[in-house]
Amino acid sequence: MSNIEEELRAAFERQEAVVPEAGSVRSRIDLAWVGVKRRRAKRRAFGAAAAVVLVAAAVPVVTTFAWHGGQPGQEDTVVANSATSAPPLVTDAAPIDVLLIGGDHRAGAKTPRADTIVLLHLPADRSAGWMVSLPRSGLVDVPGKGRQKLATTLALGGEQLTARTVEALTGVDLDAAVVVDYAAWRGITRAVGGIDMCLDQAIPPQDGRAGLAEGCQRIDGDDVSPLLQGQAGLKQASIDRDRNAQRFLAALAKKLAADGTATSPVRINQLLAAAGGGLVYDGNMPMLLRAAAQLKTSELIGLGEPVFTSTADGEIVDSAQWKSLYQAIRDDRLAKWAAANPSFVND
Amino acid sequence: MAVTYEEFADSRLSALLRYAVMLTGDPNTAEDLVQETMLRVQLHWWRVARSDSPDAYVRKILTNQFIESRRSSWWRRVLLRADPDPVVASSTDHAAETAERDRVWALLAGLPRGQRAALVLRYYEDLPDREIAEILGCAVGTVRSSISRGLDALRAELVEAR
Repeated sequence: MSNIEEELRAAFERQEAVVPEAGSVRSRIDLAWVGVKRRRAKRRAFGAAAAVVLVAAAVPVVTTFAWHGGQPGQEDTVVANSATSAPPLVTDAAPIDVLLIGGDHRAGAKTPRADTIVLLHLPADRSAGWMVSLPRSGLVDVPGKGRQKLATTLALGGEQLTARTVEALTGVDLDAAVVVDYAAWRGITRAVGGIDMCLDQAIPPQDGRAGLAEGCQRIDGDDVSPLLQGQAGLKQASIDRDRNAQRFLAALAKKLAADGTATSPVRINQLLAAAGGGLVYDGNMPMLLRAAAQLKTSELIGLGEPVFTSTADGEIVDSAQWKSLYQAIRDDRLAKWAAANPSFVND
Repeated sequence: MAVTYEEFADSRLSALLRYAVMLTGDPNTAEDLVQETMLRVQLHWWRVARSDSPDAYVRKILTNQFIESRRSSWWRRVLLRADPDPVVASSTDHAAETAERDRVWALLAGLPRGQRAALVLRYYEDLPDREIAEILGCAVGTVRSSISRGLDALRAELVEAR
C-alpha cells in the first residue's frame, strides 16, 4: 500500500465529519418531490402538446415514460421551447424507439385494453419513421405473469408492463411509451378537420359501430373508432386492422406537417384541448422532439406480419422472421430489412 | 418489485450522502446532488426497482450526474477553501498535518471528475474494479488506468509541494 493511497483514505475518512445528516436531507427531498409532482402535472399538458407535434413530425405518440437506455435522468426541462425551436445543427446519433399503444377504456369495462401496439423506430440517420405493428394477440412472456397475449399487459400492469414486455420480446431498449385512447384520436381528428386516407377494402359495421366504405375518403372524428377498432369482416381481420391504424397515423402525420400545425404553438394548444385527457405524455421530450425535428420526411413506413402464424392461444411473434425483424430494429437497419422482406411492408 | 422507494431511501440515504460528499468535497453540493438524484430515482422508481441492484443503479445515476454537471463550482470552492489556508506554515504539528490533508483534498479537486469518482469508489467505497466499471459505465481497463493516473497525479503534486 503506497503512501498516497493511505493519505487518500485518510482524507476521505476525515471528510466524513461533514456528511450531512440523512433525516434533514430526506425531508428536503420529500418537499422537493411535492414540487416536482406539481410541475409534472403541468408538464403532462406540455407533453401532450408535444406529442401532437411528434405526430406531425411523423412520430405519433401519447403517454410516456422516459427511459434513457438505462440512465434515468435528463428530465424534460425545455419542453416548452423545444416544441418550436429549429432543429439543432448537431444530430443525435442514436436511433430512438417509442412504443405507441392505442388503448381504450371500453364502456362497462374497468380495465383498459390495448388494440394497437406499434413500435416506432427513428433511425439514427432520421431518414424516415418506421412503424412496426405487434399483433395484440401475440403470445409473449410477460415479466412476472407468464405467457399471455400482448394486449392484456395494459390491463395487468399499465403501459409500463406493456413496455417491459415489448422490451423483453424484442430486446429493444425503449426510450418512451405512449398511450392514446380513441376519444383523444377522435378529438384530434376533428380538430384537424378530418384526415384524408384510402382504404383498400370496406370495413363492415360491427358492435354498433358504423362501417366505412372502400376507397379514398375523409376520416372524421366519428369514423375513428370504426377505422381503428373494426376488424370483423376484413380479409385478414386484425392484420388489416393494424394496417389501417398505420395508414391512419401516416395520414395524420402528413396532414399536420402539411397544414403547419407542427410549427404553430397555437394550433398545438388547440389540438391538445381537443385530445383532452385521453392523451397522456410523460417522458424525455427534448430528446424526442429533437429527433422529430431531425426527421427528413413526414413519411411513416409501416411494417407488420402479412400472415399471422396462429396457435389456439394466440399469434406467434417470436418466429425466426420476427426475431430477425427485432434484430434489425436493434441494429438500426430497418430499411435493409424491409427491402429483404417486402411482404412485411404496408402500403 | 420488493423494494419500495421509501424503504430504499430509509436504508440507503446516509450511504449516498457520504458518497456524494466524497465526490463533491462539499456538504452543500453533496446535498444538492443527492436531492437531485433521489428526485430522479423517484420519477423512475419502477425502472430502478427492477434493476439487478437498485443501489448500484442509483449510485450510477448519482455518479453520472456528478460527472456531467458542469455548473458545479465544487473544485473552485474547494480550491478557495484550500487557498486561504496558508496558515500551513503555522507552528503546531497538528495544524501542519491538517494542512497536509487539505492539500490532498485540494489536489483531488483538481483531477478530472471521472478519475476522482474512480478514486472515491476504490479508496472510499472499496469497490472492486468490475463494480467501479459498472458504475462509471466504462471498461475495467479504463478504471484501472483512471485510478493509476489519478494516483500518479496526486503523487507528483504532493512530492512537488514538499
